[in-house]
Amino acid sequence: MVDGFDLVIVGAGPAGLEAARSASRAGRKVAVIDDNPRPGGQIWRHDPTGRAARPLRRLLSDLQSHEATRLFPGHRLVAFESGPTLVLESATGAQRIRGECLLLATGARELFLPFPGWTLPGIYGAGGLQALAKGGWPVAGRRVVLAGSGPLLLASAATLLRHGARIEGILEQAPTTDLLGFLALLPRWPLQTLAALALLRRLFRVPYWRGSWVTEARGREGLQEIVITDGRRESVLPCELLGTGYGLVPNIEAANLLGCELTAGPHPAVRVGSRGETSRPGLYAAGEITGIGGAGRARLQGALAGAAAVGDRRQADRLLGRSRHAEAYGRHLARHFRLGEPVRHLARPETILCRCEEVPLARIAEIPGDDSRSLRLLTRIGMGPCQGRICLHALAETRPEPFLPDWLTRPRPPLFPARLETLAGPERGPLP
Amino acid sequence: MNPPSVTVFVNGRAVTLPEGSTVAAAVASVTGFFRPRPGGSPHGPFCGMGYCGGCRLRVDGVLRLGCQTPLSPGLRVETDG
Repeated sequence: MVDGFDLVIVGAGPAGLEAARSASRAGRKVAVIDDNPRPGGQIWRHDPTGRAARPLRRLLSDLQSHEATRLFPGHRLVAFESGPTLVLESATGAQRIRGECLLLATGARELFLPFPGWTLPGIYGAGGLQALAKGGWPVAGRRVVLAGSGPLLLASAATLLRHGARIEGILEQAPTTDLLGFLALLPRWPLQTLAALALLRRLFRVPYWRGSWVTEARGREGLQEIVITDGRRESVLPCELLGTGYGLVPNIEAANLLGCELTAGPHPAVRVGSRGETSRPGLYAAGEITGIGGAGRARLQGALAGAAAVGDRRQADRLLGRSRHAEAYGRHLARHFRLGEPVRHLARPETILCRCEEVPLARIAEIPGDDSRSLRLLTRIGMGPCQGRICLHALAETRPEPFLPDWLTRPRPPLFPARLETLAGPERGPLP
Repeated sequence: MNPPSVTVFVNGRAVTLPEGSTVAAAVASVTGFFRPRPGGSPHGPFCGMGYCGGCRLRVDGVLRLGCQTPLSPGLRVETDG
C-alpha cells in the first residue's frame, strides 16, 4: 500500500497533469496514475519520431521540481476497495494506493458507428490509428482514409502524414453549412483557432470531403476498398488503412463505480460543479470525463479542480471565468459536428455490432425491449474484453428511444480485465 | 540521426524496431493475426489506446495489451493463433 497522499489523480493527460501542478504548487503531496507507459494522455501521446509537446514538457518539468509529487505511469486502475483505496495493476504486479482526495481525469474514447465490413483488419479508430502510428505501427507508404466526424480526423491525418502515410482523403459527415458555422465563431477561442490553422496548413494538399461518409468496407483478408457517399452518389475508393471515429465519449466507468452522478443522454458524462466537485464528497473530476471540449478546456478544468481539491480557493476562483469560456467551446463543437441520421443506420442485419463477441445486429434485434441485461445474457453483447465500451455506445446511437445499459445502472468491478492475483492481493478489503 | 533500435522476438522471429515502438507494432511487422474472435475471424488492434482488448497477447508469458507495452530488448511475444 502506498499511502499518505493529499490527492490521488487518475489520468496523466492535460486535465490530470494540470490538476497535479495546481495541487503541487499549493504544497500538497500528489500521486498521478495512468495506464499508458508515459504521461501525456491521448493528445500529448509520446511520439518517438518527434519532440514532446511544449505544454507537456513544461508540465512535467514543473512536476519534477516538486519532490512530494509522484507519477505512476504503466499502472491501470482496475477496482476500488473501501476508503476508497485504488487497486492498480502493472506489468510486474499489483499496487494499492490511497489519498485524502481523489480526482478523476480519465479522458474520453472514440465513438464508433458500425457499418458493413468495419471489423476487417486494416480498420481502426481514427485516433486509434494515430496512436498506433506513434507506437511504430507500419503506415509509411500506405493509402489511408480517415472518416467520421470532428477535428480529431484532422489531427490524426497530420500525424499519419508525418509518419509517411499517403492520405487519400478525409470524410467528414457534417455538412458544409455546419462546418462554416463552426469556423465563423471559432475565433472566439484563440488557442483553438491557432491549433486549427496549424493543422490546416499541414493538410492543405489532402482532400477534405464534407457531408460524406463510408457506407461499406470490403476486402478478402484485410481492407482493400471502401464505398463512400455524399448521400446522393456512391463511389468506390481503394485504400489499405481506414481510421474511423464519430467523435468522443467520456470514460466514466471509474466515476460511475464510485456512484458519481452522471448527465443524461446516450453517452453520459460525470456531473460536476464549477470547481470540478462531483456529487460524492472528496471526489473531483476534470477534463473530457465531464463532457467533450478538447485539451484547452481540459487543462483549465484540471488546474481549477486540482486547486479546489486541495482547498486553494484563490487559485480556483482566479480560473473560473476562463473555464466557463472554454466550456462554451465544448457546446460549439457539439452543435456543429452533431451526427446526421444516415451514419447511425449503416449496419445491416449481418453486420457485427459487438466486435469482441462477434454478435451481429440481427441477433440483437431479435431480443424484444430495451433491457440490456437480457441482451447481454442472451447474445453476449458487451461481455468481451472491452466490456461494452464500444458496442453499447454504438447501439445507443441506433435506437430512437433513450437506452440505458445495465453497466451504467449497475456497474461492477473490475473496471478492466485484471489478473486474479491483483484483485486477491494481500491487502484485500471489502469492495465498495 | 536514427533513434536507437530494440530487438524482440515475435513467435520466435527476431524483429528490430526503433526504441519507443510498441509490442503491437512489432507483431504487425511479422503477422496481421493477433488472435481469433469467438467465431474465428481475426481480431487485432483497433482502439489503439488500451480499452478494446484487440491487441491482447502474451509478453514474456504474461497477458498484456500490445498497444500499451513498449518494446524492451529480448521480449518474447506470442500471438494466439
